[in-house]
Amino acid sequence: MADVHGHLVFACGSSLYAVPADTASEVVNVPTLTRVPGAPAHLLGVFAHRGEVLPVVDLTRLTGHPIDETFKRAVLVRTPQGSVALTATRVLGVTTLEGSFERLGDVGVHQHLRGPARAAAGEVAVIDTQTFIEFLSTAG
Amino acid sequence: MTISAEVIEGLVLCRVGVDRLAVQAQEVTAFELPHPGAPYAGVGFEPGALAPLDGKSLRHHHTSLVVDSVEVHAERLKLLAVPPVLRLAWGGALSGFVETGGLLWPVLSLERFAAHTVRPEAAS
Amino acid sequence: MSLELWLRNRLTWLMLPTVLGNSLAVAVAGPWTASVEALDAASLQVFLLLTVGITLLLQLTLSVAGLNRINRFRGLVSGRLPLNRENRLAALGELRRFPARMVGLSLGGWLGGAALLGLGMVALADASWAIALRLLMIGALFGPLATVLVSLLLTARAHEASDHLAEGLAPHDVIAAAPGVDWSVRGRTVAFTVLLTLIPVLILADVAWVWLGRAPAALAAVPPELRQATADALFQGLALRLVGLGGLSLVFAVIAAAAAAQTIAGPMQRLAAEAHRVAEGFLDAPRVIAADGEVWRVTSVFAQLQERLAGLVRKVLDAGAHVGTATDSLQRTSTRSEATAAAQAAALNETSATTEELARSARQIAASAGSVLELARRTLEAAQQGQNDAAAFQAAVDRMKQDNKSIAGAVDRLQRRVQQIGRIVELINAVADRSDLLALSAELEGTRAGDVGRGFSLVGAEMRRLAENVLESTAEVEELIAEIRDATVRTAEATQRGSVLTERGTALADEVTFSLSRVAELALETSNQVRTITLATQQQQSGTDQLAEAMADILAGTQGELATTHRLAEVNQRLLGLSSSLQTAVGRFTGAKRS
Repeated sequence: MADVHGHLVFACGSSLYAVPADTASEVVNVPTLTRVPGAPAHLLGVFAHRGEVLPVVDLTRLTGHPIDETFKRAVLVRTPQGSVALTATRVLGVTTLEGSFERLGDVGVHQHLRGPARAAAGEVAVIDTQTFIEFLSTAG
Repeated sequence: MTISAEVIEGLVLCRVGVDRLAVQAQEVTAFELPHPGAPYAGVGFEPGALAPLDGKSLRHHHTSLVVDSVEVHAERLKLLAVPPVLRLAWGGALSGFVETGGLLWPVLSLERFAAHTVRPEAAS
Repeated sequence: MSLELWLRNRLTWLMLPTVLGNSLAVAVAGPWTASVEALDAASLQVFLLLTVGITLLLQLTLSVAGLNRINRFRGLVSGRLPLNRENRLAALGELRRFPARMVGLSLGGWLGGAALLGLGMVALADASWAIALRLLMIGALFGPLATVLVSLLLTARAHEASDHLAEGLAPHDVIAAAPGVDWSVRGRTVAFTVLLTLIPVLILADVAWVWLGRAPAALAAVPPELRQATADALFQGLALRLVGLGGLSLVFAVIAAAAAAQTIAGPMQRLAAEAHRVAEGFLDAPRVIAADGEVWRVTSVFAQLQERLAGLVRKVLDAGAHVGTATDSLQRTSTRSEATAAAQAAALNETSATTEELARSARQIAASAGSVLELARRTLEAAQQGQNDAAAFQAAVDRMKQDNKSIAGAVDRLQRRVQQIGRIVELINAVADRSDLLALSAELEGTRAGDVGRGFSLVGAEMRRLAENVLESTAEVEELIAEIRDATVRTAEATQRGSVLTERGTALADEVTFSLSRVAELALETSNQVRTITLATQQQQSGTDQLAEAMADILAGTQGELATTHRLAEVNQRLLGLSSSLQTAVGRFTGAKRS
């Protein structure tokens, strides 16, 4: 499958992730977060951005990788199912990916990650943003 | 953007540890001293948190919620929508967010919170 | 016998001669008058009664008047007055005047008594005034006789009493208080003799006259044949009476003479006894022997002589004792002086040795002082050199301090600059970060615009690279700044330490400079002192030599002095012997020794 529009590649912890460039609306510096009562652990909190409340999702917590909180930035992902901000320790930029785009797992968040794709910086897990946000909404 | 913005008037701003939340003033039937067994809002932020001795209890009919301190806010504020990923948080008791004093406050519906407390399995 | 004991009942004893003498005279005169005047029985009775009464009255009066003249003596006898010197002297005066007073009273009593008797006879016994006149004449004849006798007896007793009272009193006091009655022995004796011969003759003549006057009438009254016998009887009666009266007069004269002699012999005997006491060497308590007239002169002079002699002997004895004491003291002093002289000689020997030792020491001190002077000079030089070095060190430290201060200032400025750079780098970082975000957004926008936006994306990517380069560079700059900060902090610390060290160095240099200057002062002082010592030692050396010579002279002199002291001791010994002899000689007058 050819990567027509390209992907925004970013690092979170020790892993590289990519979101389709057309769903990544912008990259922001993460401000102070407001915690939400009864929210799951991977939802670090919310912040207001352009009159909208955005929840911040920590991929290291979600994927079960070693927790890395050195992120400074977040990638805003907008889909018809909703918007989230994904924490990023580094944003590498927009690039075209090569390789396969198969599901990387069958349980939890891994069923919404595809790959193994390849970028200049290394192997990248591509996030299926629509199903990913649906998954987050139902997981609560 | 599924829920259109609406205006809310009369809030009780609550401090819970280092965190905060707000409830609609109409929902509070009485402020009380906390009694043993009443649920503490801090548990929503940190599982196992304990209510302080000088806390306040917000009564809503037969249920009540304990917070550290309260402050009544009378201005009209815009109620910001709950993002879809948080719609089920705390059993769906979140009714929105307000922004005041440069800070964001999650607004809790005591009505729905009471229902969640009666049926705890709905929270998971 | 004590004076108090002797004085007991002495008033009666003193008054007795007066009463007895007068009573005796009355006893002789009364009967005789009665027989001569040929009184009838009634007249005789009146006469006798009057005589006895008047005699008793007069004796009483005389006694009272006499006792009134010796009040002090009376007081002493009765114990009413204390037996002190003053009372005794006053009593002595009274006793001396007493006999003369009693003579006047007695004579007055006789004349008064005779007159009273005559008046009484005229009034009571119808006697003629001729009889009263005769009675007065008889009183005038018997009065002096009785008075002489009374006077002599009284004088003897008064003298005896005086001797007792005067015992123990100072002779000159006694003599002043009770001078003897200055009757001349010759005058008195003549007067007595005249009285004692003339009055009996007058009495006898009167008797004969009266008797013979009655004879013609008696002869005429008898027949003529009886006239011869009557005349014989008359003559015999007259002769008998004359013989009787003559014998009586003789007895009276003998008694009076004995009494008169006693007034001279008594004092003389006592004087002899006293002279004997003096001859025996008893000069204590010289006695004034009471007497009258020339005898008084002798006894009083003797008493004074005795007193003066006693004083003289006492003085001699005192002087002897003083001489003895002085000689004793002199002896002891001499002995001590001898010992002292010997000790002095020994001490001088020792001193002489010490002086020589001193001279040797002085020479050694002079030599040592020279060495010390040289040492002090060298110390002074070293100290001055040290002071110069310390000053140089001080200057170096000062420069270092100045440099340190400059470094500290520079470091401070550097720190401020580095801070400014840090702030600029932060700003650059913020701008680069913002640029990066903007570039990312541009890239995303460009991507979404498809082929049209490709160029836009490229520009965005290029911008991102630039921004990342900037961020990398600023990261390096931040590292460099951190290094500079570390270095400046270390430099600041080092300059701080350096400044502390230079401060300490300055303090040390100050101390060293001070110490060296003190050393220099001391060295200078030492050399001055040593110079003084050297000078003094030289003076001392010459002085010590002179002293040694002087010591030798003194030593020789002391030997001579010792010999003199020996001789002095011998002389003292002899003087002591003489003093002892003197004391023995004067001590013979044992009475003069003080008890």
